[in-house]
Amino acid sequence: MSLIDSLPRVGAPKLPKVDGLIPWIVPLAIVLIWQLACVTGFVPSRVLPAPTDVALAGWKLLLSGELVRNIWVSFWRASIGFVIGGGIGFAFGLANGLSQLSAKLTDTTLQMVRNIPHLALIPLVILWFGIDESAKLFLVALGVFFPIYLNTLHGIRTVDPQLIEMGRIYGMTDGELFRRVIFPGALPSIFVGLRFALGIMWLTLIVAETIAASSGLGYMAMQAREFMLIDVVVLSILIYALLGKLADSASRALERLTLSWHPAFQKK
Amino acid sequence: MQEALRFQPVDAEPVDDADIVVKPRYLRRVTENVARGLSLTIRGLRKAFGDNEVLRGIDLHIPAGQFVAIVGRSGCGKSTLLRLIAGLDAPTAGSIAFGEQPRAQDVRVMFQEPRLLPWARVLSNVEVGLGRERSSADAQARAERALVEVGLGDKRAQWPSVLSGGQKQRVALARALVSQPRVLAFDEPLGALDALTRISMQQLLERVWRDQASPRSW
Ligand SMILES: Nc1ncnc2c1ncn2[C@@H]1O[C@H](COP(=O)(O)OP(=O)(O)O)[C@@H](O)[C@H]1O
Ligand SMILES: [Mg+2]
Repeated sequence: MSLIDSLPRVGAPKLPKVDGLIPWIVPLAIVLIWQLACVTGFVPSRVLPAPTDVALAGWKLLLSGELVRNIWVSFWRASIGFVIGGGIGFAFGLANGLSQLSAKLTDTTLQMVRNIPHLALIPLVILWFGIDESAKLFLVALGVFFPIYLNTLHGIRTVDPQLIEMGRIYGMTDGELFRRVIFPGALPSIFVGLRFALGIMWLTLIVAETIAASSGLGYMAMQAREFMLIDVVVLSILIYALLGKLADSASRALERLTLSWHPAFQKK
Repeated sequence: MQEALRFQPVDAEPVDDADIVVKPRYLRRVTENVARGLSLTIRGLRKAFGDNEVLRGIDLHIPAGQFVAIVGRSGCGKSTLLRLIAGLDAPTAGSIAFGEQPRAQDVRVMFQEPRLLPWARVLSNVEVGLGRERSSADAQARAERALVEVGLGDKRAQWPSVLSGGQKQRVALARALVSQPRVLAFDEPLGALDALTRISMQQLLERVWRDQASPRSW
């Protein structure tokens, strides 16, 4: 046995195990530097509380049940608004992608409405719904509608016409054609819309809850601001980041599951 | 004697766009075979896209079981003719008649591109070829047999995206063959392949044709 064989091998063989941790190195480093900056007094705690303070505030709110209740309310609003707006957007996308008549009838109108920033409607929505639940749901649904609509429509319109022709030649019925050719072909684009929509969903909800709500994460942050509880404000922001990341991971997982045929998702 | 291919000459006067005329002299009979296939009779076939008259009065008889190659410059209307024969487009004038009324799965086309569903495994892509018989009990067994016939039995569970160009075309061939069609139309199915793959594909096609004896044109 030579000397070289007895030397420990560094690097390569061990890497796969560490691979999953790599994305977390940067966030972890940021938290560490943040903590250091606060402890050394480089950043005054009135400006930014230390991560440990934020964690402590979170722990207290968790014990009082306030945190879970507010997260739950926000999560519920986000999901319901998403289902309503996404459902309608998907339905219009399908209808306008498959039917010329439907597209002629509604597409121009929808494209016009799309150019209004939906958050500009907040004053109007408050006048209509007050600071009721329906106000938030309406805004989230409206925000989610367009990315889903546009990408579903785009997905269906760009399905390879040669494949559709092939399906017809091989005697597929309209239903089979949709199920086996059009829908799977449109799916990658629909997922793009889904991920956009998830981002807009959180954005809309934060703004709506900050301006007009009596519960939820945005409300919690605004209340904390009134009482100068900066640790709770930072906590709320971090939770938004975490929820956004969760939603994104969920949609990615779904994507991997349903698009396993796609070369981009084939890892060996 | 077998009935020979017959062509009526396309109008003799020079045309402004010579490329878009099917030139009978380019048509050559390759070989012939006794058939369970269908004969094909084309009379006075015309096809125009707007002002662009692509086919100008084609007359053609192909006896059942014959292997006919249609040769011509790119853009001369080969694909157009095949699409009309396969019923994908309606002729502007003229008629296309088969020896007897074919069922939907009796006429199959193979295109220059494989046109496989990327989201379906190789085997289900072949099953697509069964048309309305897709739901029958022996559908899977038939699809597997067709795959074995083109030499891809071991690829049944693969995604099309991992196959090479030649393998994809073989899957498309299996899909075209699985319903045991009586007319097979090939539209330059080997055009996009490299020379070596093309040769082995040609041999495969000829073997399949000899085994099944249906009329094929390409
Ligand atoms: N759908 C169509 N609309 C208009 N012109 C077409 C269409 N399909 C084919 N053509 C025209 O018909 C001519 C013949 O095309 P094609 O049959 O594809 O030629 P080939 O297969 O022999 O190369 C070309 O000039 C092409 O531009
Ligand atoms: Mg062509």
